This record gives sequence, C-alpha cells and structure tokens, in this order.
Amino acid sequence: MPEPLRTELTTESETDTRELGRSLATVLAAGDLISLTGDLGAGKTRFAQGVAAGLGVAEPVTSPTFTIMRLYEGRLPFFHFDVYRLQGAAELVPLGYEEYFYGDGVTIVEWGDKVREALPEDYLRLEMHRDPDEPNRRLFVVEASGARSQLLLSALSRTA
Amino acid sequence: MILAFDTATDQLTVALGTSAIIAARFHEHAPRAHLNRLLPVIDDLLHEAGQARSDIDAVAVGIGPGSFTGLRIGVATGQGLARALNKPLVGISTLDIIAKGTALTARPLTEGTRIQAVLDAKRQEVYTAEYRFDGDRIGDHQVMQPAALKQQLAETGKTILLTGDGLQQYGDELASFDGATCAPETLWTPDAAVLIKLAEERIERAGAQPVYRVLPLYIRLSDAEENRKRQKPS
Repeated sequence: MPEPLRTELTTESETDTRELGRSLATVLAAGDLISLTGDLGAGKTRFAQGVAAGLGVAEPVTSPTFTIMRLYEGRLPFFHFDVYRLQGAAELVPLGYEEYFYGDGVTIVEWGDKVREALPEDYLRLEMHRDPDEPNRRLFVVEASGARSQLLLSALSRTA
Repeated sequence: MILAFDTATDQLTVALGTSAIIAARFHEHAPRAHLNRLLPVIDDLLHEAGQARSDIDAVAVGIGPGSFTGLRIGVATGQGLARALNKPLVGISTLDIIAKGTALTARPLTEGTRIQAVLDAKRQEVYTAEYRFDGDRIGDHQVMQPAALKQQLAETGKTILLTGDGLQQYGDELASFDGATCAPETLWTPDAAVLIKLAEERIERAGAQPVYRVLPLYIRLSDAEENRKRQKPS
C-alpha cells in the first residue's frame, strides 16, 4: 500500500503539541526538514520546542524571529529558522542556508511557505490552525512531498 | 611570525610561525564549533610556542569559498586581530591552500599534471578551481555541478589529481575517467602551515591589503546577485 501524502491531526493542548514534536523527533534523521505554517499563536514554536527536546537539546528554545536562525546541539544538530521577516528565498542566500537545509542535522523552518523555492524537494509541511470552537485545540494538516517525508508523515500519524 | 587560520570548512586549522619554522599548529574536525574554538586555540598556540601577541608580524586567513558562517568567523576574527595588533592581514583562497598543500606533499608531479581542488557547496554543487602541478591557480573559482565538472575535466585529456573535502561526497564520480586520481584523504583539508607559506609569498609579491579589503569569497552569493540583476533590469 503506498504511503499517504496528506493527513490531518488534532492536539488538545500546548503540551500535546509539544509531545507531537517530541515523538516526531524520535524518527528524524540528518537532512530532514520540516516547514511550519500557521497563524501567530498556532503553536509553531511549541512544536519546534518538542522536536528540540526529542533531539536531546538541553538549551531553552525560543523562536528566532529576529536572528532568523539559531543552532543547537542534540543527538543531531538542530537548525531552527524563523523566516517571518524575510521577503523571499533570495534573502536566505546570504545566510548560507544550504549548509543547514542540506546539512548534517534536522531543520525546522517556521513560516517555511515564504521561502518555498529554497526548500528541498522532499520535506514535511505542517500547517497549523486554531479551532474556532475550542481555544486550546489545534488542527494540523500534514503534507509530504517525497519518499522520506512520507515515512515521517506515517510515523507522525501513528503516534498521534 | 605569522598567525594563520582557516575556518571555511569543517576543519579548524591554526598555525603560528614562518614558512621556515612552524612554531605551533592545530587541526581539528569541528563542525560549527569554530566560533567557540578559534580564539582559545590561538591563545593555546601562542602559549605553546612561548610567544606573545606582540610577536605576531602578520595575520593570514582563509577566505573560502566554503561555509558562509565559517567565513564570517574567520574573516571577522582576522580583521579584529590585525586591527588591534596594527599588523597586516592577508586573505588567501581556501581552495588555493588545499591545492598548494597537495602539490607540496604529493610531489613530484609531472609538469603536465593539473590539480583540481573541490569543496562541497551543498545542493549537489561544488566550489572548484584548477591548478598547475606546483599548486599555482589557473583561472577563476567556480561553483558547478559535479557531473559538469567531470565532463569538463575529461575533455581536457590531461592527467588530473583531485583534492579537497568535496571528494568525500563526489570523489568516485569525479575520478571516474582515465587520467583522474584522488589525492590521499589527509590532503583534502586546508592546512594553516601552508597558508603561512602562501601569505609570505603574497606579502613579498604584493604587500598587504588594507584590513577592510580582506573579505570572504562568496562565489554563490555573487551568482545570486548576478541573477537578480538579470531578472530585474532597472
């Protein structure tokens, strides 16, 4: 049976969102990239913190909105980008983003849709929404664009 | 005495001395650790060599191409030290350092042999430049796909010695034609002792540049700027 390309998940709290990230981290490998999209307050950073914790990053993780990227060392290197302030993929070039997106660690790109041309062919895309009826509930649309991200998507839907 | 270092690749290499005598040197495979390691290592080497900062006559830095983050750390540190010590700063291409190191160690190479230095530029591309058998560069630095480079090299019909860290990823592909071989892996990373030699030659030949003129070699960045100009004619 072919792996699915798209799935939907829900979490009921910030802790849930963080745990979802943590469980995804257990299957992540060097070179994986996850793009996060969603309104302010949807939980992108919370999810990234879960991934960082799952990768064994000990330092506190905050959204690098003003520094664009921050690097952490865990079981694998963790590269955390927030490209909210960028106008497009061209502005990633002076940062040498290739060293990270195609590097030896795990990359999360918050607001990744803004730099889609710079993302690799095969990556996992998570779109996060608030539920209008349940203030703590978050709806996740998860999409895979290649064989590797399909495996991650399957792992994610099994843990949820 | 020259203080030399290169932070363009995962290899941190630092050396202190002259081309005649290397007083102290350090090599470490240290991905993303250059910022934390560079200054303490310089301090350690000065201590090990029994020298003071005031004994440094010039600073030499590898300017890439390579990791953008690494280049900024190296060049900024070089500029800061040279300014504070009021001593000249010399910037040398990292590919030039690797090619010269390979030429010096792998010799005697026959005169027709070409050395091709290759670094991984990520995104299935390499930074590369061509050298004579003695490690002197012919032509410019380029960024290109390994397959295109291989074809270009094969068409020359020359004996080619490949070197550089890009061979980790692309060595088999690049060396897959008659006349091509890979240098021993120990020669694939830049050596700051070789940088000292190149810096001495540069100072003798051309003098030192103003500190602010020593800048990272961002080959891909200038490509991107060219493309942007072409797309947006103003």
